[in-house]
Amino acid sequence: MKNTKRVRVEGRSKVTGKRIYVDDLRPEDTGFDFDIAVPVTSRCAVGKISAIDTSAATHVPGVKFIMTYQNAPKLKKVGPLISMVEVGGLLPLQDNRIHYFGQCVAVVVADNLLAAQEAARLVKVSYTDTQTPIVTLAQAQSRLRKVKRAGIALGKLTKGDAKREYEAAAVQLDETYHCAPHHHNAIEIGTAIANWDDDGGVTVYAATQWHHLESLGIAQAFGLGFNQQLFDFAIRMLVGRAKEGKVRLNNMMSGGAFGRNLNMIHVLLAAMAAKQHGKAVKIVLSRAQTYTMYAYRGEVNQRLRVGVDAQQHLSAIVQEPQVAIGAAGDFVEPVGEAPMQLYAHKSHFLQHRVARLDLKGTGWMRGPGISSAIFAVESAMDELAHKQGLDPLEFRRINHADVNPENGKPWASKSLLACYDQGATMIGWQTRPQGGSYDAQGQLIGYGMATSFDLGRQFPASARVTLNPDGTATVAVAAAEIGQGIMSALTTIAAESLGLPHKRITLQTQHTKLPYAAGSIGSTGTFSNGSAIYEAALAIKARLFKWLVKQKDVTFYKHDPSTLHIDNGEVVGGDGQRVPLETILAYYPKPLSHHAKTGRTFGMGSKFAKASFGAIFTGVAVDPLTMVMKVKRMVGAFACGRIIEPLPACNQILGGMVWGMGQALFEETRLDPNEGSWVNDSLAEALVSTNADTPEMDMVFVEEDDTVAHPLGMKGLAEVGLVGPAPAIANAFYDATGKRLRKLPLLLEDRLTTPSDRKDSLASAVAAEFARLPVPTPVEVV
Amino acid sequence: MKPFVLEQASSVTDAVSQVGEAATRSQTTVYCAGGTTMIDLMKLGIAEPNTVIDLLALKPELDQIRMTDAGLEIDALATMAEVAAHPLINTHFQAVADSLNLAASAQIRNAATVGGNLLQRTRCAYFRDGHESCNKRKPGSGCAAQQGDSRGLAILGTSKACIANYPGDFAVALVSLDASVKLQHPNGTTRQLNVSNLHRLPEDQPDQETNLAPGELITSILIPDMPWQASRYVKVRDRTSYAFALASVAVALNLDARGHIQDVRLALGGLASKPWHCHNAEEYLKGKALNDVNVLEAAQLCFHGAKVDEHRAFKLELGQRTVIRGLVEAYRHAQAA
Amino acid sequence: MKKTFVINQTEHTLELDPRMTLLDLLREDLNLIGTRKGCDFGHCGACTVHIDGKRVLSCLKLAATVDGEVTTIEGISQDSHLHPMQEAFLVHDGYQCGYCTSGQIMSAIACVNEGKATTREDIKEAMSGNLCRCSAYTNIVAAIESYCNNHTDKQVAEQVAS
Repeated sequence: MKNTKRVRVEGRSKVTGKRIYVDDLRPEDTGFDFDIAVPVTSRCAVGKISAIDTSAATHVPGVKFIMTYQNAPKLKKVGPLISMVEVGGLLPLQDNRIHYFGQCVAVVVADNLLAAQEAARLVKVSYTDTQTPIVTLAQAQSRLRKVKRAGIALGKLTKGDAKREYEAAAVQLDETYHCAPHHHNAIEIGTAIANWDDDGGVTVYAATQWHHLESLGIAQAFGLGFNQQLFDFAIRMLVGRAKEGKVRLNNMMSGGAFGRNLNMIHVLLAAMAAKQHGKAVKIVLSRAQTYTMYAYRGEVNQRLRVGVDAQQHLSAIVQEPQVAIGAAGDFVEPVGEAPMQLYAHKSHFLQHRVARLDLKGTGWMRGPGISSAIFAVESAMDELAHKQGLDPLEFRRINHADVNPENGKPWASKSLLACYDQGATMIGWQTRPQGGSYDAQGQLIGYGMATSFDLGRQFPASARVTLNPDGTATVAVAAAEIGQGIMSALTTIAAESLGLPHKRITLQTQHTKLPYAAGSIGSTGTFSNGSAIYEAALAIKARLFKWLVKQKDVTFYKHDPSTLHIDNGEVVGGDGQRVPLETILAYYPKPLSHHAKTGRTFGMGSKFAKASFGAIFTGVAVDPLTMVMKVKRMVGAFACGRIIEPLPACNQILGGMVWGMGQALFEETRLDPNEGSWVNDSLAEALVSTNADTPEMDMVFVEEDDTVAHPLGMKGLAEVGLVGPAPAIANAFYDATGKRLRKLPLLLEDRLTTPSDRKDSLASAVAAEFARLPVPTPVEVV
Repeated sequence: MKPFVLEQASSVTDAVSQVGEAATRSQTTVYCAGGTTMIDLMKLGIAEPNTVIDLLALKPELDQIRMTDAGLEIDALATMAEVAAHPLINTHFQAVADSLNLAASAQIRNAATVGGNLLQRTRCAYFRDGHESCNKRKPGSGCAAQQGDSRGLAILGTSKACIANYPGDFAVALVSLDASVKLQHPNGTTRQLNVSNLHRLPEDQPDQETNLAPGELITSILIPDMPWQASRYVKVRDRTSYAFALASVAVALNLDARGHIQDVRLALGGLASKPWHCHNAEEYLKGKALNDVNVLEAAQLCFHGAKVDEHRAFKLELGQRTVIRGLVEAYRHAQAA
Repeated sequence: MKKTFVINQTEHTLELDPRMTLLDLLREDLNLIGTRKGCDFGHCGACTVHIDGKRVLSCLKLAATVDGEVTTIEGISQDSHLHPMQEAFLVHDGYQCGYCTSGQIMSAIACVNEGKATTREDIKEAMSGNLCRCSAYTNIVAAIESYCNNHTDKQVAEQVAS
């Protein structure tokens, strides 16, 4: 098959192994020498350090310095961070208190990795005043409290009198849905380098999803500017001021991030160790440490009540999520963001309740809140459809929200019905076999579907675009590439906005001295930063054309500037005359550069509601004996506005669908309920999908014009692939077995022990198995 | 990793005598072949040898696979990949090939030797993460797993001291085929040991995992060339590939002319403290028709004496269903044979 | 101890700490940083290299026990000429963040050489020792299939930048 799509800007460096991640940096790259640092983490969850014995560790040849709370630099308080993660409430190595298992208690610095690792193992920490930790929602019922905010969403929402509407509903559903905690498990482990500069500033190399937010945390902790904390950050955000502070952050590409690479503890530790050690250090985490040095998605338990009226319309949604958060930080999974915008409904009530557990702080993870929410709502929709004898897809069509049900605004664009149609066609929904019939291998067949949803937003951003005399352009924007393909997409937006071929665009993204950019979070990065590039390009072209029409000896003298445009590197007049851009730029008197902040296009669509939608369909096969489930087929149709770069966009959606499948089948990080430690803290035991788990998959983007809300016509797409598969698979499992599972992941124990709506016993399953075997024929014994 | 001295073995007798000699000086010396287990354990600080004897130098003389009068003999330094791909394995011992191909990953199977594979150690998190209470690591220190998350651990062969499971696949298939290992002792003697007796029950000494004498080296594996009509290995795990077994079963089956069970072998993995040979179920099945009633009864017999808690209760049910799946698949294959 | 290695067809004689893994040797001593560390315990496949053409995990291999010629991602292509498997990964977008990619490509080449790339299901199973958390699996399989079919789509790939 011919593939005419553009490959990624940085693709060649990735397939040759030449791309430099933080751990790959050598003194030749940084310009300074550094020692290697390795953290030591606590083996106690709640208590105090009574003693730290570093004598054996100090004697390991090559060890240079050991940092504990006793000699670590005292940090200034870090105020509320937009990321809301742990460091906003708890800074490392500031006192002897232990708040969770796996908390950093020391950092060993040595002149080589082997020595640092060996010495770290020899640091002996003793604890006193230890207490049994509370680490699950079940243990923490007395700690639950209501919250005003959940993530960046509201903690409480009401519309009408939902509880009364529910009581009056013709059909009712009242169930509880549970989602286990799990980690990002990015394949890059985690490294940061810090070097204190002569002027008292610090140079940092890290992989973060948001340059300026990461540097804000460091700056606050060390008192390096940003003293007014959020105010200063807000100014930078709004004005796009590019002036660099004293935290000089080089943001390397992330080897996977998925929400975890924000305000990271090990980045702070690198700066702390370098300061105290008096020499640059590179801190290197172990895989096991990633489970307590990064945030994760916390446990969520939701009671959901849904009422349906006699006309099969939703009359009430009452959602009461209990959300676990860690010992520090204020991040709360925004569970309620999505459900109230998904279907037309008469009334709703949502109240998040939160329990602070004795665990590492929770944080952002791909599909924050929404993945848990959609699991509950889309499982409930399936259950309600069955209660009413309706096809699950038909029930969703009946309740399609023609306007945003939360605020009544019209959608800028919404093609969910087309997604339903195309997805259903792709999987053959109308002609699917009856659930629970057997395939040729004797496996139970089941089909399921779910709607998916993504609230991409536009955040403030800025970019500087420079047209160089040779007709190339340099685009400076501190955007973070985490694998989503933002560099390719921003290059394309720049090329199209300027009318230049792609190869003439050079993107600069790596450093905090570059213009402030929105972070690569929550399906917002490409849209937000692309808007800034677009605006800068508009400004540059306007300036150029205004000057050009005044030049007597040039083709376009006295033309109307609004009739000019640039195409393929040539200025084109209204009369079709073309002049190479470099010819014109050679005469332009000064550098043609513009630093734009998103102003003109920001908030343009505020009178509209904006969201991406999708429909996921899946087919599973279940072993009737062992209940082993294999997802055989998964398809999705998505409407995400304009797709800038199809190759990475499709890839990201397909990858998201595989994530959703992993969440359905096995993703959980398990806790020791007594000690509060993560039990399966390795990639061998904290399972993520392998290639063999991946079903035959297809996806399409439904064409959509969203330019009414923004000239670029873009919406978010990062999460729309991820949030539907888990409920679609749970629904397919029900279709196959008659067993309704309301806990993620759908563990084998629950698949085995959940009673079926159908006739179900081991004896009958075995009898059926033998009934399907070929009739025994006498065989010759060899 | 604790510093150690690396020695290269020049011959089998040289290797075993080095280890035997070291033992007399209370020095810990370990063999290292493919390294996929030993280096892992050394990184975790579970194995802290003074000396590591690299066996790979012996590979050319110790990686053959041949049919002998006594059956198929596989040298201990053959890799998992080499054995799985060998035509004699594929044609005669399907369960062995399956158990190898369903284990670990292609990269690991290229490095790991079959001798080393037999001696891989439990994946119990409390054993691996350096927990203070682990009788296997520190005799007498307790067993944190029993109060903790024991989902992945054993329900058969456990003791008050230890509920760790044997994680491997290959040994389970070998037990179902009555295989044995040939051993070289540091004193120069050799002996043969049935694979079902290679591993020990934990009882009150879970740190003693095998019946090997100090320094004793597995030199080859011998599988009797029984004419099994079907030999099958079924592995149930949480994901499709690259995961340890939650439950597995190896079945070897011969049917008589009436289609009744003439002879059968059943061994379990993932569920027990060692590769688990189900004698009771085998005896029960012999001479009987292979039907739904009989396989249900046999599956229950396999789990006689199983001990569970809330985390592992499902493994009893899962184990029985896995046994039935294994018997059904072997039956299907035997009928087709 | 001293040992001589042949890595990417170049001979290196190095003083070794016996504890040094092949992975750390490549990355820390030889600056061959294309081979990545994703777990250091043999669970992810990011560190996959070839020894005498066979794919192995360099994190579970003591450098001192390496018994053959080592090939890393840096050794399969020269200058601007990509190995056809690299070309296939590029054109089919068989990666996202790129961190596991070296291991995926080394594994893919070996997988084909092992004769394991006969069906799509076989490829998936044979490549399951290489985790891709971005989950670009569908494209990875497409790249390998395309390589096998000798369709690297080179001619039609419009490259934005080199």
